[in-house]
Amino acid sequence: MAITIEGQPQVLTPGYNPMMYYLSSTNVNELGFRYIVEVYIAGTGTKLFEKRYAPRPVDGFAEINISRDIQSYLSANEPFGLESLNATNHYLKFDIKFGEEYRVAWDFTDFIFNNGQTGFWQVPNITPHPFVLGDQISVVLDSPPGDFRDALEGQFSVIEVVDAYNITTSLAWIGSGLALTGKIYYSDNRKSRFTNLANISTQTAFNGALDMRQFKDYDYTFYSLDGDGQFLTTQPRDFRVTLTQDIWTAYFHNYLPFGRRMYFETSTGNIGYKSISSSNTVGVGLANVGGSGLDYLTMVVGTLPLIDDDVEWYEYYLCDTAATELSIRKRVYINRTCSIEYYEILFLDRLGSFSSFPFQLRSIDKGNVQRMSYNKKFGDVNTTTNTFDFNTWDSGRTTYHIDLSKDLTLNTNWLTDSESVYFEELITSGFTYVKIEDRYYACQVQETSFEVQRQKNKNLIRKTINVRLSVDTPINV
Amino acid sequence: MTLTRIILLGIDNYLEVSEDVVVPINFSIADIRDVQAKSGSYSKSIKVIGTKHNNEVLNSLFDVNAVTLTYNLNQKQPCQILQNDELILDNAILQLVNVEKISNGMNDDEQIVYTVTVKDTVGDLFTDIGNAMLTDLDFSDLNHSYTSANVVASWAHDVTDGYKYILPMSSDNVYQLPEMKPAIYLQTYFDRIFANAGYQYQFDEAVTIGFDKLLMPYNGDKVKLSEGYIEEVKIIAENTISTEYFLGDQLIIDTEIQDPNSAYNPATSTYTSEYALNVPNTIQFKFILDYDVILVNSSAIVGICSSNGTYAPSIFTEAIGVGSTTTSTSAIDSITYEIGDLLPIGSNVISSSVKTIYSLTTNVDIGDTVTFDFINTDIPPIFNNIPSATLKLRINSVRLEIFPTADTLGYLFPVVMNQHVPVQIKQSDFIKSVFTMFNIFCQPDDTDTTKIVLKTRDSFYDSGIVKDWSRKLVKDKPHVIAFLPEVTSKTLTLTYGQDKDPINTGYLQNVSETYGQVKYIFDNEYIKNDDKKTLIFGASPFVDTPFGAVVMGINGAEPKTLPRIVYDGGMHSCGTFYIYDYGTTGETCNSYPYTTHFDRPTNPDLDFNFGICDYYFSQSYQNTTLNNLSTLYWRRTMSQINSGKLYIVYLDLTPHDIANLKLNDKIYLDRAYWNINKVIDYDANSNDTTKVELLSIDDELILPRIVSRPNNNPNNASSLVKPFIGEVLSNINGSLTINASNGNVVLNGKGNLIDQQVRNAVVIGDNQQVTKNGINSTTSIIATTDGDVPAIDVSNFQDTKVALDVSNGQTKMATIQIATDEAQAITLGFETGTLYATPTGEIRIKL
Repeated sequence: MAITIEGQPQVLTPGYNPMMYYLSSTNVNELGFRYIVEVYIAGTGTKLFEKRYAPRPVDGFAEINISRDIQSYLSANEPFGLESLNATNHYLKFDIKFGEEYRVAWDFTDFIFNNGQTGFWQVPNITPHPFVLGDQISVVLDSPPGDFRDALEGQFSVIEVVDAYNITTSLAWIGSGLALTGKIYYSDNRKSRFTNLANISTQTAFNGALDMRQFKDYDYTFYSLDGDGQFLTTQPRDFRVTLTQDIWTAYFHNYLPFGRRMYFETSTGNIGYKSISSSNTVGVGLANVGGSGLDYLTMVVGTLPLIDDDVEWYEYYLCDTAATELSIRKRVYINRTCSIEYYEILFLDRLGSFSSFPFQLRSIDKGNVQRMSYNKKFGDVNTTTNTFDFNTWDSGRTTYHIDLSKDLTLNTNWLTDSESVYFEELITSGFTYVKIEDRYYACQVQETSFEVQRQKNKNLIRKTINVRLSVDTPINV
Repeated sequence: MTLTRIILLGIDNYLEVSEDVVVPINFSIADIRDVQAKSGSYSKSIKVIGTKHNNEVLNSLFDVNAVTLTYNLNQKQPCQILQNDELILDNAILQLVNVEKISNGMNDDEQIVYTVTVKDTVGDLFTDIGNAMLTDLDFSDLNHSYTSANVVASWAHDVTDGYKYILPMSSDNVYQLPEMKPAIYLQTYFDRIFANAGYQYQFDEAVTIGFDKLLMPYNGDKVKLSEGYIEEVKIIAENTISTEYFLGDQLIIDTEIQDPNSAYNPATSTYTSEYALNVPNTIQFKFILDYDVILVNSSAIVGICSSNGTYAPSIFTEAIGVGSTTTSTSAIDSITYEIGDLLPIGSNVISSSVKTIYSLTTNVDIGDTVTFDFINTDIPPIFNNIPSATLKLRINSVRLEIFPTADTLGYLFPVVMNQHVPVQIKQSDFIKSVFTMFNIFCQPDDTDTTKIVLKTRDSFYDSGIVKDWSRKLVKDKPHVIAFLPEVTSKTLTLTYGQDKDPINTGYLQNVSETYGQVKYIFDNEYIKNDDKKTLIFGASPFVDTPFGAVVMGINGAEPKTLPRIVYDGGMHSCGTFYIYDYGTTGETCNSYPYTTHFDRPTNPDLDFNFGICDYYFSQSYQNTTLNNLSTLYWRRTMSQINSGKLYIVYLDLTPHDIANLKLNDKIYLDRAYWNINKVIDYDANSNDTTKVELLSIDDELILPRIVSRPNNNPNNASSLVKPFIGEVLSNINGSLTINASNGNVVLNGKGNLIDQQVRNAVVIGDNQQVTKNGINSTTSIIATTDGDVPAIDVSNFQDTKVALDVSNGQTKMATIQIATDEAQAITLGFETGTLYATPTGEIRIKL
């Protein structure tokens, strides 16, 4: 009874990519063999789900992908108004346990006369039988002899448990004969379960989805914040932000002790920091590293505001309280282009950071109105003239409900090549919020297709998108 | 590009299939949605374009004036289908169904499309047997002579002999030969059905599951002699010379027309019996008479009737045997005179006619002689004023035919086995019912086009091999998981047909379900409706006999049931019983063939009912068994329906996959194993993906607990048992009686011959010739200490009316009640002298 884990996902793995486990067992040839997979919240007895897998042909391995199940436990934390947070919805820490089940046979060595009935026993006593009074059993002879003893095969009830190695069945005594060996199963196909024969503790799946190239090269140690770890974001290196643009970058705690700080250093030498949320029980954190996230820093060099008029870019990086850098530096360029109108759309990128794009050119604000009406009766008897009468303002056709949905058509300014590529993640994100006058409103991007433009084909890249506010405006009727 | 061709085997040619034509082929052996339905593994209509080559191969059959040269429309055309030279279908049967033509231009028949169907041999078998009946099969090779010796000899038979006699119910330990009827082995039916259709079958499990020991007993009315046989053995004699007979004269019939066995002596007008038989078998005598009844007034004055009376000229048939004589009387005419009626002087023809008169004799032995006399059977009138009036019968011509009765077979008569086949049963229904019993799947043999392989469903799937189709799943087409309970009904009952015999009817009345049925109730609470899969066969309750045998609860002489299936459980010991060919000549037995739905009389190990009954009509079996039809053959199917899944997917199946497809393959897909329910419209003329329905494999499923019930069987006196057994025993009495009476005759015995003139009688005991109204008993029916008949206050009696001869020569009507048992007799208050029935049907008097 042994299960070997032949393959498994990395300790930290994007939950929207395949999470494959491969198992082997020494018992795959047992009747009705299935691998059992149980997934628990890490360190608890709370079972999230359980699955059974058939061994695959030829090698008998289990081929297990729990990605689709894990995704049900992954979402996003809205970070609005927070400097940093433990993003508990962004990840799942779990324990995974592997077991197996199969129809266990009890081997008998002979049939015997038990008080007028046929019994089965095992001599010498090696393996106790699992049966209790009333069990229905299926008896299979190793070699049916082709005589009256064939009657031993079939479905019977256990009417007496003589001892751990001897049972009496509902089969009346068939008569004496040469010894016969065989197996006894539960009649109902019942299998015996052997759980937690192997396990993996504390695996973390985060709200991330990589494309084939990224996933092929994925190495969770890149994101381990131990000196040169990376943030969990796909932001390009030359990413630009306006002075108001919020960015909540995600990072893997990797058992960070308390007392971590996000440092900021500008192209002009200003340096400031802020403490960020960290906990060794939390997997992923979010920290605002742009816009309002730069307002309340403890300045090490220079004075607030961090971004003065001469700053061309700034870098953010994670340090401990001794200012030892624990991550690579992530550079962000300042976008100081003029705006005709100004909107931002915050979105969840593919590794779970909230990033944003500004829309600084002319926008179009459109409403879609849908009226529901009916034609109702008007007029009544005039008791003075005793005739049918009505008012000219009486309603015949009457509106009883109006739906108003508002769409915004937004235009970006000129984008860099890498921003153009990154823009795809906004278009396809499941979490998007439009910032109107410093407030975020949930919205849905209406685009169903897009083109990734590159500067080698088109020098000036500008994007237009349509978004619809998630909540319709009520209309009084 | 796909190149598909249909190879026509035998005529060494092929049909071309145009690239743009769909060649859809379905594969399915059984659909889980209808567990009783069984089909061939594939079938479909295919359109074949009328290319020059195809037109030539099909002999230009598009032309209504075409004369076929090489292609025979009516002959089965074996074929293969090749897809890109890969053989994807072999051993198929092609049939040209129709030709469709369109002409848009000047010429006729510009566009021609032939429609052909391609099906496997299983589908073809069911087409072939179509509406054929079981009675279309020939079992004449099993014919034999009807004797108790042959009956007993058959008990050593097995399936290789084709038939075996079964032992039916009896109220005592004596059987008359006509109670014995042969049962033909189920496998013998199968052999002949398949052979007749040009097929053979292979059923490797036949012995293991007991298929080879199943018998289908005779289920019809009394077996009649065939008209052909009667004509063959009939004796014909006549006398065309007008002859006058006085009372007591023997009829003279002296010209022999036909006498195959020289049994009639025209010189003495005597028939010597060539048969030995008992009631209910008879020898019939048919007289066609042209006669005058003459009453002679020999005096010189006209006679005047002074006392009412009737002349009833009759034929008195007397069979004289060694130590016994049997007589019967058949009236020819009836002429009544009343007081004052005149009888003219001389010979007066008082009646003339041409009539056919029947007479019979029974309980005769070979060599008994039979003669026919003229008698009067009524009280004649009295003519006081003349010395006498003489009755004469002038027979102008008479034709006598002698033949055995057509109603039942008798000793040494030929048993025509074709007469013992259930009538009005289609061969296809028969096969489907057997398939339903054992959940049998059938598929064509891989190599032999004429062979069909049968397997029980579990064995079929268990023998499948694993195929990994993980990479054939078309992930971007919908793959749907349907939960099987959603496609079925809430309950599914597997049952024998509800028979109308007293025992099965009684069980239904008491339990509200059919004997031996099982009802599965599926867990899903959203579904409704009840589904019932009913066999054409009836259930076969078993009962005890007085001599310790356990037998089918049927009236052997005329079962009149649905076809039954019973297991040949071999010989078992019992008390002594007898099977009489005639008289008391026959076989004495101390063992009997056990043939019920169990495999043995006690502690059975196999049960051919679907489920365990609420109770049985005999307690002798001791412990029942869980190994019934539903447990052994249906539990996994039911579990599959209850908790299985139907996975409907699109797969990238190649011609190689189809060529190697077995419908019991275990398909590994989506990290689970599946059985194939259906392959839908595989297009053999394209490279498109194919829709496939897969089923959860059995070992994923927990099987339902086998329904078992405690052994709380009622005893033989219980109202759950006794009335229904009693009714069958009563029917047996009726079947073993020749009752020529049109009156009210209560029978409590068998082997009795009730004469035509009997109007009201109670017959108690066996083998009597009842000629008088009243109580006819072989034993004293009223027991008193002094032997006298006690005074009975008839006003206290109810129910059964009988005639009592009160010993002064007069008959009075009385009404008596026969209590159902001794206990009721006491309850009724007539503790002494009350009639009551015993469990074996005897009538006794409470002392």
